Amino acid sequence: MSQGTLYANFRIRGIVPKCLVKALNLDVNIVEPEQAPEQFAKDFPLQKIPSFAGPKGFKLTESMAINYYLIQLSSDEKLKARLLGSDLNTQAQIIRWQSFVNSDVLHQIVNAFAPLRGDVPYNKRAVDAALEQLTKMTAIFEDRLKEYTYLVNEHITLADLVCATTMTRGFNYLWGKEWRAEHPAIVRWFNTVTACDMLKHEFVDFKFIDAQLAPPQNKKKEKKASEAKPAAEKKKAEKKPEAAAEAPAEKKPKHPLELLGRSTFVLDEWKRKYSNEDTRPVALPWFWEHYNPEEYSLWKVEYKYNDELTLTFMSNNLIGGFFNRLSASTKYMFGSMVVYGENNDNGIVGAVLVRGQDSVPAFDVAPDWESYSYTKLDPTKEEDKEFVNNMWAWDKPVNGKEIVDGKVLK
Amino acid sequence: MTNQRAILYTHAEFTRPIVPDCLLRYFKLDIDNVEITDDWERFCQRFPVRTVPSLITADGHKYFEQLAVNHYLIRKSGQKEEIEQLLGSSDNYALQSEIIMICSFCTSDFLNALCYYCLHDLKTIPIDDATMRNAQKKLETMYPLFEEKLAKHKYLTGDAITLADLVSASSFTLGFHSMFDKEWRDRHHLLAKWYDNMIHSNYMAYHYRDFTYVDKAHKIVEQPLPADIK
Repeated sequence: MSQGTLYANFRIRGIVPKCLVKALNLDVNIVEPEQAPEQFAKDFPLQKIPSFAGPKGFKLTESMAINYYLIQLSSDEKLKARLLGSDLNTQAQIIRWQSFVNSDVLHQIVNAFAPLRGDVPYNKRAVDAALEQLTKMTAIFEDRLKEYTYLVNEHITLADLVCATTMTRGFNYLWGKEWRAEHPAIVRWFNTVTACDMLKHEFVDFKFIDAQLAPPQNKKKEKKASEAKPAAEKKKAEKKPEAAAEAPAEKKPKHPLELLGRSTFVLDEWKRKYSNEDTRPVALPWFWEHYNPEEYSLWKVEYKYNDELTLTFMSNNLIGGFFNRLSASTKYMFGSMVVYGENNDNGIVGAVLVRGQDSVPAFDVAPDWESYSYTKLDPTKEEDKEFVNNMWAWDKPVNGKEIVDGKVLK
Repeated sequence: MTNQRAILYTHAEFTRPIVPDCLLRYFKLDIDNVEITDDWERFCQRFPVRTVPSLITADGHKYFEQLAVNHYLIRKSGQKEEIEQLLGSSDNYALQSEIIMICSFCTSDFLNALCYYCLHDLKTIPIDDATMRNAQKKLETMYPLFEEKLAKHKYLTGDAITLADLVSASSFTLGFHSMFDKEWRDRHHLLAKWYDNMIHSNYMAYHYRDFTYVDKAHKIVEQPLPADIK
C-alpha cells in the first residue's frame, strides 16, 4: 500500500525529501505540483513545497516535519539513528542546524540573489545588507567545519543533508571563486556531502560559478551615483556605477521644509551650542536670545499610549526608534524627549523645535508619527518656556516623576 | 572546559523566547534566564548571529533556533510523561511530525506574515502599505489551517497541549497584542478561545499574568536593540 504522495519539484526545500524517498526505498509517489495543480491546491491551500499527503487524510507541510516523517517510515533503525541522532545533544544540534539554514540563512540568500536575478526590483542597500548577514552566518559554518568533518558529529546527519542542499542556492548565485577561496572548509564539506550516495544524483549537473551574479543591466538612466558610498564588493568590477536604486528615474523629491528657505536663526549653530556648553547656564539663555518664533515653532510631543509602556529602557528604545525614523527631517528640527517615572509606570514626553509653523511636514516622515500628540507651545508664556528648558536640560521632574532617560534629536 | 551556569538568553519583547522561558519555569530547570540587554557583549561574543532564544549549557554546548532550544529543554526535564505529551511519543511519528510541522510553520512563515501586518517597521525600516496588505491577505489564508484543527479538538493536535500549541500561541501573541481587536476575536472565535486556554494553562499562565486583550487594533513599533541604537 502506498505510504503517501510527496509534492516536490526543483525548489530547494524539496530536494532532501525526494532523496530520502529514493534512498530509503519508500513506497511514496513523488509528484511535481505542476503535474497535478488542482489536487495540489485543494490539498494544500498554501501550495508550499514540499508537501506530503499520507494515508487516511494525514497531511504535512514544512520540510523539517516531512524529512522527519519520511526517515521514520524506514525500517533501518541504524540509519534513522545516524540521520536523526540518538542522544539529546545530537538531536538538538541536528534540529538547530536545520532550522537555522532553513529560515535565517535561506532567507538572506534569497534576499541577496532575488534582486540580482531580477525577481524583485534591484536595491543595492538591500543586497548589501543580506550579504553582510550571510557573512556572519557562513562564518559559523566555516568555524565548525574547520575543526570537524560534518556539522554535528563524525558522519552525515540530516543537518548536513539539509544544509548542503539549501546552501546550493548560495553557490548557484553568490559564492564565486574568491568567496570559495576564503571558505575552504565549507567548500570541502559541501563537495563531500553532495557527493554522498543519498544526494549525488541531484548534483550531476552542478557547477560552481566564477563570480557573484551581477545586478540587472536596466538602470542606464542613473549613471551618476547620487551617494558616494565606496563599493562593498571589490571582487567584481561593476560596469555601471551604483545609483540610489530607490528612485526609479526621477530625482528625490525635496523635503517640504526646504521650500521655507534660509532662516536668520542658524539651527546648526544652536546644535553646536547645546552640545558644547552647559545647558541651563549657557546654552538655554543663548537659545532664547537668538530664537526667532516667526521662523521656528516649538512643540510639546507626547506619546499617546503611556499606559502600555513597561520597562523604562524599552520606552527609551521607542524614542530612539522614532528619532531614527525622523532622520529625513533632522536638518529642520532639534529636540529632546525623555522617559519619566519607573518600570511599568512611566511616560514619554519632549519638546521639539521645528522649522516653520506646522509640525506635520517635519514629523510625518516617520511612519509612527501618529503615535504621538503635538501641542504648539507659546514661548511668550513662562510655563511653556520653562517646559522647553526642562525638556532640554532634564533636570526637573515631569508630572511629579523623575526623568530616568531620554534622547536628543540633533 | 570549565563548568559554568547554564544560560538561556531571552529578550522581553521578542516572540521566539516566550516558550523557552515558559518551559524553564514550568520544569524548574537549573538554567539562568538572562535578558540579552543585561549581558549584551558576552551574548554577542557567544552567539554572533544574535538571535534569541540562545542556550549555552553548563558544559559549553550552544544552541540557538527556537525548535532546538525547546526540544532540548523539554527532554532535559527528564519527565517522561510530559516529554511524550509535548513532543509526541516515539511510537507515534505521525503526531511527532505534525508537531514539528506546526512549530516550524508558526515560527517562520506565519510569524513573518504577522510581523509585516502588526509592526510599524522592522529594525527601523518602515513597512509600507502594500507589504502590510499582502501580509494581511496571506494571514487570511493561514488562519483556517488552525481553525480546521480547532474545530475538531480542543488543541491543535488533540485534546492535550503539545509543543505545537505552545509555539503557536506564542506566535499569535504578536497579533493579540496589536491588531486582533474584539471584532477580529469575534470573527475567529475558535482561535480566540484556544488562545485564552493556552495563556491560562499551567505552562504559560505566569508569563501571561499581566496580559490584557486590546480594545483597539494598532501597530507595534519595534524596539531597537543596543546594536541598532546609534
